[in-house]
Amino acid sequence: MAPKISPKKSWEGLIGGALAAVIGGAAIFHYLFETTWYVGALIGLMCVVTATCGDLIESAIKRDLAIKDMSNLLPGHGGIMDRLDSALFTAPAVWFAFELINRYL
Amino acid sequence: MMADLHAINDAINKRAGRKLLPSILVSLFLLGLIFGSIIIEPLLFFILIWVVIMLGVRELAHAYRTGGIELPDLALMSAASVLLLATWFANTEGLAVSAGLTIPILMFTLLLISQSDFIKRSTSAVFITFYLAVLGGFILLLANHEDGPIRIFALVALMLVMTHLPTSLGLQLVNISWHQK
Repeated sequence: MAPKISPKKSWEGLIGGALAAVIGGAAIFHYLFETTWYVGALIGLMCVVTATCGDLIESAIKRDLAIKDMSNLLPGHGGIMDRLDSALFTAPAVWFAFELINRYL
Repeated sequence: MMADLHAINDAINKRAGRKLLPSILVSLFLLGLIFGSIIIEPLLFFILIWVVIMLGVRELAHAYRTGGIELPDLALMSAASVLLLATWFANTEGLAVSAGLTIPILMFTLLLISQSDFIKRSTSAVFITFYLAVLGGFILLLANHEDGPIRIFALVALMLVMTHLPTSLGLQLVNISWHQK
């Protein structure tokens, strides 16, 4: 998908992630927040975009600095930043989604 | 049988680029911390996020240092702390106002420390502060709501299904193809 920045990321992985997020988002938002399933599916899809951007940006930073992991604080994960990258980019999108749901749905 | 399991585990580790078992244990520990803190006392969740962001700031500042960009940990951590505290206690207004005040002060502090490589150092510092404290502030905004625990659950659950479900399915395929060999 981005061979120069992150050679192990594939389009198959992204499509798999997107499918999982759409199904997961539809289920989570329908059952926990009583929205229609397609609202949850859309939020899931939006999260795939933001998480992938976060992941790629973190990879680009590491590539620029010529490091594999930010640290070895978390065994099997690398550093804190290696875990946080996607969540940091996804949190504003999820917060925005909740604001829209509260105001308009 | 054991040799088979080891071989499968090695194949999975090689494919994933990480050791799977410690990774799963750490994930479970982190999930326990996240949900334990937010369910017991939201302030504990704030402290958890603050600690995580501080560690993140140190990690990034250290990584930048290896790339030749010297940044003061203390100034970055102070700026991030102000942003997180303001967000926790004053929500979106706190986040916006503290960002508007903290970032210029941070830049001026960097100028006082040294004038060399100022553009490189100040843009890096602003980036780290924005990346961790401003974006991380949205995690606090999600938590600081009457539905906070459920909102955090939604965020974590989405992250998990997005990242782990396809990986697990992919690893199952690796297992199947390994057995077929």
